[in-house]
Amino acid sequence: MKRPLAALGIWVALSLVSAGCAPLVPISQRVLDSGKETLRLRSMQTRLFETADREGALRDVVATLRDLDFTITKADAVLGVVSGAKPGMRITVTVAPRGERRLIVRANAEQGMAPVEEPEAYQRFFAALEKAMFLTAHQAD
Amino acid sequence: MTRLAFPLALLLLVAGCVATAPRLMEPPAGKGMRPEHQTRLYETPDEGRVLLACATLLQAMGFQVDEAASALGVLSASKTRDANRLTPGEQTAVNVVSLGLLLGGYTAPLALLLMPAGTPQPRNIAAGITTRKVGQGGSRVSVGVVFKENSAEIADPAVYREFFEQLSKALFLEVHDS
Repeated sequence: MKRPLAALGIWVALSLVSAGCAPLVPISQRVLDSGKETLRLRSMQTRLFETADREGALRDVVATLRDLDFTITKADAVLGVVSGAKPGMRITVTVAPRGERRLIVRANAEQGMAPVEEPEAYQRFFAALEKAMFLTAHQAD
Repeated sequence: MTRLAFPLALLLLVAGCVATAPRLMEPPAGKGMRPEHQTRLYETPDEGRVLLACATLLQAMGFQVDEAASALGVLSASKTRDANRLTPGEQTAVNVVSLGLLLGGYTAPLALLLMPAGTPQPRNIAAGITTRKVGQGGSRVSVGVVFKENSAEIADPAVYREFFEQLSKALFLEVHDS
């Protein structure tokens, strides 16, 4: 009778000690996502487009996200931000002027509890966007 | 008598609500003004540019924009992260080892020690940014930011210092790029 009781005691004591013992990522790293390869990430998430038509580019971003099965959750034309979501995945795209004749487009996605860091995912997004912008340019002419 | 019990219970419930209602709109204890480390002034009249720099910086930090009302200087973003330092692969390995220890009988308490390391620690991290023109003729832009984790405000000034340092850099670079 004594041995099972002692074993139970050890179990309870250890579970109390172990509670909250998970090795945690430091708070600054959790908030700022620091410690990542920011340059590599930035280059895969960013593209320059030779156009000054910011509103047109934003419309193309919206169309591309919808083609990729995202539901648009937020769009602000003045700020140049479009957000989309589909089950288990979220994406934010910003379109900012770079100089007078170029636009810089940055996309970042999140899947589950982690940022999407596969270059292929962004390559596919930008390929679809390039296609949409090319088509749009021809339609506008 | 039993017919009275239900309305009486309801009455007590409502009375409880009334007692707590006035506290709803009070600022948190010991907190009046927004702490200094959560705001910064930028020497530019271009509020839109500052807000856009905030949006792209939040993107670089892995946030997803949830709300953007540029006319009012409001930007909200969030992200979900696993606070467990171990990668998902390492967590699985820990769980396999834990299971082995659990099946070992007397080694089971050791499994309990290991288990937290193999469990994901999901955290919802939110960023709330507000901008406003200040100074004579709106020559400067005030930026306020609050970070929250699982709805609790993050108080560590170092996090805010790093955010504003990166924002200053982004604005400086932008000015010199265009």
